[in-house]
Amino acid sequence: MNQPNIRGFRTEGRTEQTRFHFHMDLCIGCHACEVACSEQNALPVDTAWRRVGEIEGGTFPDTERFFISSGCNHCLDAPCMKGCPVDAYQVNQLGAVIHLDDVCIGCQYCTWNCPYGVPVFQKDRHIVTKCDLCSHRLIQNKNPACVDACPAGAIKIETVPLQEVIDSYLEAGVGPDMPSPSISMPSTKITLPSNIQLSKFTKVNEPFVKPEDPHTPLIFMTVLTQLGLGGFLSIWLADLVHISFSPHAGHPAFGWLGLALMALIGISLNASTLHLGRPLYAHRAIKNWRTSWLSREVLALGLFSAVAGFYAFLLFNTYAYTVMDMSMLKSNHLRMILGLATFLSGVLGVYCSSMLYRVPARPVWDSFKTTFDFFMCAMILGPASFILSLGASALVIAEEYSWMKGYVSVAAIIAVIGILIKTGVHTAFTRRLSLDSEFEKKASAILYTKHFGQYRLLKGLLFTWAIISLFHVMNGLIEVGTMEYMVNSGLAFLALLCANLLDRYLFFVTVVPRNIPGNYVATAHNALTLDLSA
Amino acid sequence: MLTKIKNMLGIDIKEKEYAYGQDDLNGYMSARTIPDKWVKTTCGYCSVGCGILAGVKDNQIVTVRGDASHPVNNGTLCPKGLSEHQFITSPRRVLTPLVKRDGKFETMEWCHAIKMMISQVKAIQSNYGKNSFAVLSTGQLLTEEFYTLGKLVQLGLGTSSYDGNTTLCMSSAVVGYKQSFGSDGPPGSYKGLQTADVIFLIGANIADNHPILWNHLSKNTHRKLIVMDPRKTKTAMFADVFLPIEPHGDIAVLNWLINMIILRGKVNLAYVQNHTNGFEELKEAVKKYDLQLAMKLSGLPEHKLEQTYQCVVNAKNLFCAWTMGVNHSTQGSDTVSLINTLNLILGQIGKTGAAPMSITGQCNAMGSREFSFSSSMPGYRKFEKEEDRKELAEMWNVDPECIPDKRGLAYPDIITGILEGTIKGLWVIATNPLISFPDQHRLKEAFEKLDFLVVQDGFHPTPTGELADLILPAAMWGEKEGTYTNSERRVSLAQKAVPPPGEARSDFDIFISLADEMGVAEKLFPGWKSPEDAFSEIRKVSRGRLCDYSGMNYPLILDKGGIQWPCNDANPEGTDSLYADGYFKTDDGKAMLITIDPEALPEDKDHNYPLILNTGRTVEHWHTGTKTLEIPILKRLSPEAWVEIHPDTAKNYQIKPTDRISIVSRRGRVDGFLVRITETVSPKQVFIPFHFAKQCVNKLTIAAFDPKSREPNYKQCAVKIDVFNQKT
Repeated sequence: MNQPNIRGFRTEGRTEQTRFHFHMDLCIGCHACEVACSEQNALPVDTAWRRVGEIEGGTFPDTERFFISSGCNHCLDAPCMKGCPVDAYQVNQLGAVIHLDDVCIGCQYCTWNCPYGVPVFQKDRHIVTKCDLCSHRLIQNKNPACVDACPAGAIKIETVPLQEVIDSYLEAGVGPDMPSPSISMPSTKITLPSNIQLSKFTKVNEPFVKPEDPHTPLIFMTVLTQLGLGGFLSIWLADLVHISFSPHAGHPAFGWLGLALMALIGISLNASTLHLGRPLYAHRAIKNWRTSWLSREVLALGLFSAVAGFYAFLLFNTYAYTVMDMSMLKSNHLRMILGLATFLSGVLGVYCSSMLYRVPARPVWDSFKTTFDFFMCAMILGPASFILSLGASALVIAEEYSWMKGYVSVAAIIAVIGILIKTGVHTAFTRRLSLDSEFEKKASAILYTKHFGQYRLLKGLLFTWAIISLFHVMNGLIEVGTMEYMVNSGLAFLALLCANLLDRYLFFVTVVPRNIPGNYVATAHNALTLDLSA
Repeated sequence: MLTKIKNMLGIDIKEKEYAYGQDDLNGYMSARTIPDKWVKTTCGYCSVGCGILAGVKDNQIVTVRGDASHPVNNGTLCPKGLSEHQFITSPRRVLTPLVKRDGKFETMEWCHAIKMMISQVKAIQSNYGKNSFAVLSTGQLLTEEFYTLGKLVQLGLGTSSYDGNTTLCMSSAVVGYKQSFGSDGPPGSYKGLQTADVIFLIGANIADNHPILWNHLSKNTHRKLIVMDPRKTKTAMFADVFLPIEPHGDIAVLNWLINMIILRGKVNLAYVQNHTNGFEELKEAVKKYDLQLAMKLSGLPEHKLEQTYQCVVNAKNLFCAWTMGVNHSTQGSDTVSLINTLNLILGQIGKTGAAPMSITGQCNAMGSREFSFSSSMPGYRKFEKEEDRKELAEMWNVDPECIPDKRGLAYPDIITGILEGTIKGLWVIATNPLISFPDQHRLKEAFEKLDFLVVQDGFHPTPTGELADLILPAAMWGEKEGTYTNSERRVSLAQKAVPPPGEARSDFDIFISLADEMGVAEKLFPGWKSPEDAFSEIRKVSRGRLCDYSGMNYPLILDKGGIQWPCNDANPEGTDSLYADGYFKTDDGKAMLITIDPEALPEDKDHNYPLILNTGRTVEHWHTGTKTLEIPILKRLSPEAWVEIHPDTAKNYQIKPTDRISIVSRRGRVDGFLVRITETVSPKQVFIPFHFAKQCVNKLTIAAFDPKSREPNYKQCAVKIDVFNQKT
């Protein structure tokens, strides 16, 4: 477990912390706090700033059941705040983590970061909203609505020295089957029933899971930028080899592929703003590069697309001499350096991209596997796009293309190796998840293998198809420059693109976030039920 | 188009709609729901009787808060109360009278609807006799409305086929009290939950069903809590002693306790001698309840029984409270009397914190008990007593002969009457039998035999309304004025905050219109314009009775946050505990010590139906869900029915949480239940909440009734499980 003192949370000169003190030993699970919160803030029915869950343990009649009512825990090391790309979170003088509605762009990254599932995307406002500790009421010496409403006196508000929270959060914030307080340093204190044996309890809603949103714009954005990295790397490597025996260097295939990749990157980056609740304000996303991987991703991918754009222009210009007759721009050296820069900025972009998913609140994502997967996508799609582009240019330009054979074979080998490694690692990883004792990991594996099994099967078929096609290409069974080659490499690329999009879709929908326990029937209603006994 | 683009780009984050503002009373809150005025009123759901502030803006209740000055709830409310205003604007409110023509409902003018109803009633009564038209009332109306309805039905329509849905929940408590004390009337107060050192909850899950009573209990830090319940309920988890009994095991435990108290010399002999009858008979009757028998019948181990005994006999103040776990039984009435007996022999009655306390169900079941003129006459008067009839006849200026000398048919007997063809017409007011009555198959058969069915309700369609020939649109909570009496005899004012929607009218107005049409209005309701006129007569009629309202008036009630009857010249502030003087409402002023032996269940589990089905409530919903399932947040919190089964049962039937299952009884089957495999139910039982029309548990329950109170035995019937995997 991490120790608190070096975590660099923002104290802003505060010495006190106002916090919820929840008495699990008193709560009767009546949900009055939830309804009171909804009335106080006039929230739409599907936006819950406070929720009540249930845990159960023991055997009849010595069964024990308890409830957990939770608003925002106003964490000291708040992952919502650290992750927010636009700095929409602030800590106020009470120590409450406050969300600034007008700053928010609706990226929902905080909803991925919070281990308690607190910030919610409020659809009718296109932004995230959350509990603010009823700070304004507290300043007026009134209680938060939930505190006033509780018939059992189970929710209290108290102001304690900040140091006390820092010293005790690891014990004070612990609840049965709750996310570990070590993740975020919650300020909430939970008073547990006396003699409670935490390990005895499970949340009652455990078998029920609602698949997460697929975030379609992000599926395309991540896969296509990774294709971009792989594609440009393939061009650069090929170009590097090519200049050693070709006086002219460059090749139309490289130019066209560069342009195509650039177009895809550009479209996908722009389209990714559609994932935002407020696309108009997308530019704000670079603001919090100091702590937010999302800001870093935007910056790094922005840099990548700029450098790659220039590189693509050079690649194109190199062969289409007419575009701009400047000797400097035809310089092989400049192109090589720019290719290297494209490669490096692409690596940085894809790395940042992967890091933003590696959040402790989503255990399956919080792994090197995410970064690995993103780069494998580049390793598979890049060479495949390269193979296709050579075929296309050979067909269109009808020049001497026997030299291409070697390139094609190498590229195909790399792609096939990529597919095999990726599939192997993925299978091993999923298997390990399914055996994991952590609910979120096991549940994710069950979702992936059982409930989304048909997608997984389709993905497997697409990879197999692609491998067979690539195998033909690799062995020279099909001549470059023929229509057959074109169709084969085209379908192989398409299959791989679809497989990777599908893979990314599964990445998004099968992740099971950490959360507080839920209420049985509400979570069960219209949910997928996992067979955890399997 | 412009809005669409704006939305897509995320320009409009509705800052105005979600802005905050300052309310004088409540402080900082959503600006949109800051009301123009707060109207003090009383919650219309359960019998706890919480004070509510209804925030009114532009003739709508936009929000509610608990009334912090109200002695019942001190500002807290349960989730139902906190969202009560939301059903008012439900699109399913019925706005005009509706008449069924060729199977379709058409709107109708009020005057025609009233005329049609009265002419139909007259036709039926002239063909088949006065009692062939029956009335099924409710516990949901205001006391003034009950009083008006009672006179209209008994003296105007002249039918005594008249009962309320309170027979489905409270009639056993009424009979039990009458047997022991000579009168209905819960003797204690909620304060007892705070002050008693021992609280014995029998078949009462107040944490789920009366959360605001828990508010009182939670303030009691020196309490010992005993909970007797077959389920490990939310309430049971707080028990110091939890008694997971077998069905009717409560009777065995109580008898054993009484026997031990007698044997170990803990009887309050002075109290028993001065204030009770029947001690010798009691002693004889409980003699056989030794430890062995008690253990066998209750299924409890010795140490739990002994712990209970120690708590009970050492209590300074013993507060016994029960709800439907006791009442919903073929032996409900006598079990109530048995609880009274326990308190009586210990002298634990007549002081704060010491009482056998029936916690009522509906918001005004108590008001109906006091003045509805169905199971007894207004002011707890007895049909059988000639002087009571005479007294009323005189006050009402009617012929004593038109007052029946015995109660008419009870609810289940009205249904039987319909099935047997003696009852041809039915008027259903503010209740939904097509969800709430046991053995729905049989009930539906009865309803289909009716020549004429009028349903007076706030909503349409409801399962019952769909079978009606005529629908009368009624005003609901917040839309009319009058009083409710809560479980502790506290009369609180429910104020009108907004006008009823469309042409809907208050039940009071509907009753007066019907009386007008019949030409009895001047006779029965001389000069009555508003419920307050009825209240004046109630004060008069109740003067000198146990439920004495004579010292109350609306402004005083409002000012005090409700007043506990009797409230009269002697007790102008109301009365905290009944029977403080040890004088009961029996002929000789002494209470009767009553006991019974547990009988076999009307339908026990057997080889074919190996499980006992228990039914009950959940905190988010109210009864048949007519109101609460219209409230989005409550529907989100509890969207559908489920069945709780023990892991052993699940194992036997190979049920996984992924399964949807069917529950089957001899009377019907209900499919597609969500399963909750839980250690909170016994391996011998399953539990299903009863609020849901789609998966109506009363298709399974048995039409067996307490012979005295006619209350249904909802809590036990035999069922089996059918597993089928319905894709969820």
